[in-house]
Amino acid sequence: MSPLLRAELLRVRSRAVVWGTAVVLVVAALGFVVAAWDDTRPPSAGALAQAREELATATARWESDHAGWVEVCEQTAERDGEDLHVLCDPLRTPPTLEQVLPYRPALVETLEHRYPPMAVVVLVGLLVMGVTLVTADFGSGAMGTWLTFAPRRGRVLVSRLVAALAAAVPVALVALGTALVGIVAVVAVNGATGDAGGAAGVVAVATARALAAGLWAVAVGVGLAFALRVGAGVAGLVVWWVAAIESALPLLVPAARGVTLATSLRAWLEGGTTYGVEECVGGADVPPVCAVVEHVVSPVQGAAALLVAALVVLGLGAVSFRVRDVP
Amino acid sequence: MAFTGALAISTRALRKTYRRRGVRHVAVEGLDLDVPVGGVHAFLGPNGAGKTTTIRMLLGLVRPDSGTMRLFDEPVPERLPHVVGRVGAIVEQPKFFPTMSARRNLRLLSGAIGAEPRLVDTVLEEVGLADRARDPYRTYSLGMKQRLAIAATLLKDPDLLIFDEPTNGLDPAGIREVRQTMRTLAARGTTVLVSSHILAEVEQVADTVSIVARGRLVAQGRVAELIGSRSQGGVRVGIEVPGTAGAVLEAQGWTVRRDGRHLLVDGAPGAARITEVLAREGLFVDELVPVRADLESVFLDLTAGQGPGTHPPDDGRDAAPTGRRAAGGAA
Repeated sequence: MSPLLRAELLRVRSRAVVWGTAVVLVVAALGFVVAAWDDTRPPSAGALAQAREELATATARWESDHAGWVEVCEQTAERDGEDLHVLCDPLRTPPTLEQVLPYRPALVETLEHRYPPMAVVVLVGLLVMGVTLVTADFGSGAMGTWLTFAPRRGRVLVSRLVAALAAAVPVALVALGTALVGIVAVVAVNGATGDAGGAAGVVAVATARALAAGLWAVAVGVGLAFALRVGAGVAGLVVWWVAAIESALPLLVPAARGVTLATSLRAWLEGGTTYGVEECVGGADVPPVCAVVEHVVSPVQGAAALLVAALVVLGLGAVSFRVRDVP
Repeated sequence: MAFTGALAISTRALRKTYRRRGVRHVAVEGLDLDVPVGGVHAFLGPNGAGKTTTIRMLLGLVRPDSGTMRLFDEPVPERLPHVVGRVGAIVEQPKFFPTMSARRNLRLLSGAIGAEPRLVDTVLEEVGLADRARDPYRTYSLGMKQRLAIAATLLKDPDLLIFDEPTNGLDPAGIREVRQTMRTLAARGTTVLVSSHILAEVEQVADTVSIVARGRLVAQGRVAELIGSRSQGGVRVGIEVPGTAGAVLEAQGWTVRRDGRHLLVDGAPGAARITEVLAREGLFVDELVPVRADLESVFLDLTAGQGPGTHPPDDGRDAAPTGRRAAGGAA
């Protein structure tokens, strides 16, 4: 490890922005925990009483009408060639309390629903952290002072990038860990754990994807910061990119949806995604026939696009840092 | 005047322009600067003369448009990484990491440049910051920040120290400390380049000087020689009867100007001759002071009308009691 990198790693530990990002992400993670608690909490006494009333009404209706429902169901199944038991047996049994109570997902379903979205929060938080780690030094003038001691700009950039990536790992893991432990805890407290088989797989995949996305965001943030040097400039570029490239361009050129960062990120985080493009066939004499054709983007394709984007941004940052004067 | 012997800094035809609001401004124009090894070299010029830009180019922070630069005979910025270990610099107000203590800031720097960690406490002691070494940098006064910057440069034990306006914002005690530091460093063999506006301070410590205006070198040489070349041996005479005395002195063919009860005499062969002439007429002086040019007057002469803070040429504001109008230009 070079002395420069060692110094950067020592410094990054005490940077306020690193600790601040960790705190903000932990608070955001608690939001997901609260949402999971709300999803899985047992019904209140009031909700239970209301459910019992609904059950009594439903049971009375079932007792008076279920024979007719079954008859209609059997005729329909016979006409359509469907399985009589699958279609009509549920109508032969009286309604239960669970059927009229609000749905309570079990642990695996809660994790699938509430844990992966943390990746987007981590990504945004680490993007801001990566940008701030560098722009703060340009803004304060510390970068110029630092360069009078360590003038090799390429090495300075690499050391800052590696230090930012190293700082991002614990920050992301703390945030993801908070969300994970919190969700598992509230589900257990609410007594909604159910069959937990498969939970570990869901968590492992989502954590790996979120962590990789977070590191990607840090790298992009550092690259943008070296290229533009001021936080406001980076924010402006990001807003312009989202408005022009991610939002407006696919409206003008639908095929561009396949190469936007949003699509690539979704493909990576969700294990693949699809997007529809309207394609028309027809000739001079034949009216065109249009249909929406679905295109699939695999997670590998998404990751490759994100990797290229990060390399391009870092390359631009490196060129700008090497060529431009430092204030 | 060209310096003989080894040079710590040498630039040739150095040029740097900036584009501001679509207009190109020349910061440095064909600068040929030489700083000899050893001693304190003052780098003077009005605001906007290109001093800081030149220093930033030497340190690789700013890229020149054209020209060459050498530090200890190594071309920079190409070989800057190889020579930077021999160069310490304080450019304007140096900035450290605000939340970290002085010691931690220096430890980081020492780690980054591969300096001995034990040096940190030594240099903090040297600049008088050992007692406040644990306090965050953001709580430091301007003077303490400047001293920390000096401590940081000492981590390298540099052969060349560059101070850009080191006394800006300092109180008189702080200015004196910085001056003493510069002299101490020069005494132990370090070459010190100092750019400053406080000419009286610089004059006390500098051995050699370069004066720039509008990005160009207008004079360079030993301070004593530069001042000497612009002094013509004027004498200030205090006397009870200046009118009579003035007439007596003018009769000798000397130039005499009256300033209250003082006379400013130019052209006399020496102070002794003045007293002799006056005594012969029964006139006796109260005060007799040879007037010599100082660095400030030389600076003002050479940079007249060439930037903010200078005066137009020949407006007489810097006219000393005796004839010491500028005779020369760039060395």
